[in-house]
Amino acid sequence: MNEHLEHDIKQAVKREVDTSPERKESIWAGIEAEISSQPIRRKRKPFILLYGSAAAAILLSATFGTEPGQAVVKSIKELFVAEKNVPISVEGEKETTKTALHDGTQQNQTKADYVIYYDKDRYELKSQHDRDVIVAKNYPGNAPLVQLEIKQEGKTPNQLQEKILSEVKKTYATVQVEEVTEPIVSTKIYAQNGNEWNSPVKVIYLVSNQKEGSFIITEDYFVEASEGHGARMNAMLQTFKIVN
Amino acid sequence: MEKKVLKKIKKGDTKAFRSLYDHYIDHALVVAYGILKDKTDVNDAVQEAFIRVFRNIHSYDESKSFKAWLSRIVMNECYRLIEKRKNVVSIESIADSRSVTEEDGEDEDLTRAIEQLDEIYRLPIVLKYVEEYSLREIAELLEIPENTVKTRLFNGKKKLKEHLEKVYAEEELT
Repeated sequence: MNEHLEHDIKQAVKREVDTSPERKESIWAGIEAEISSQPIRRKRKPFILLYGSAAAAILLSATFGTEPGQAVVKSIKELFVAEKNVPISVEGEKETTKTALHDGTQQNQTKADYVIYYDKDRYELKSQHDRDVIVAKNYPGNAPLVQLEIKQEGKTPNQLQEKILSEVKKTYATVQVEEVTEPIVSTKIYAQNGNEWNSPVKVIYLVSNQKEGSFIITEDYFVEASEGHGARMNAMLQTFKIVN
Repeated sequence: MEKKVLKKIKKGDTKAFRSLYDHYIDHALVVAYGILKDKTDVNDAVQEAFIRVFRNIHSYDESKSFKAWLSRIVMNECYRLIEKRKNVVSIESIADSRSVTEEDGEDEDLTRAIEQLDEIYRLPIVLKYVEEYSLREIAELLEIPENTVKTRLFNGKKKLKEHLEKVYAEEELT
């Protein structure tokens, strides 16, 4: 039995997993009904949509880290429009938000450049030496923290996860981890401390910066602001793009 | 995955998506089986996973393995379902569970042994011996070190052997 166990496992699982045409058709019927009722949602890639093959050619020929490469990165960033209107759903209501482009150029070649659109009517962006922080404008000083912070570290999301988790668990009662594709492909750590209207919520997205490091994107808000500030921050995060 | 098919899917071509579905559905079902015990749940998780693939196809990084990306989405859906159904006992799952009869042979014993394995062991076993992932691929997918994958495979097979030995010993007594 020992010799054949691996073979037997394969046979047993293949027998047990029903891959009959009927089952597959039944699953497909459910998929088709859903995708037909809601068409594919296109991710915003303004430079490709607006500039087609020229932009694609620029991307394909990019050699980052060299002078010509930096010129290419600069030209890619120039293809992002300075402002755009973004439709979002806030507290169940659809609205259109005017957003401004922030160019997250890094001085350090080991870090990645990025761009993000932020809601300039409601938030302001403050660049510090090692991070960008988007904070709510005219925010009362005694209100719970509301901000979106973007910084980078030279470790992969996998390497950072345990350390960040153990830090978060010190101050937040509920902590959950999952891999997500929305609003950004990442490891998502969701933390909440209590169920009152003003209980703090922290959401950390660990995003590979494609240079063996990570973007650590942290949203801070409070329970009652989940559908407001939380939704707006997620909408901003959907525009986050690494450009080198 | 073929770039032509991907391009068509990004434009919302459901026929192209159907060809992708046909190509990967068996794999998705096996991965979901590695985590979930109930057939209805497997169907639900796989269905939802493919819907997410269609809706988020633009976020797929073409430089990486599509199979691994799909597997990750299937796994996430399975875990989401587990969380959702934590306190619910499905009547179907009670009806589906069956007792071993004298007609059930060694194969059925192994099948039941695999079903009873914790997902922490069952998923790597299914990925390795059914889907023929390498240790490195499993480690990347599950985001654990390769040595941990080896340990889980070893312990999973050990548990299967122990379960089967126990069953045979009980049968000899009866």
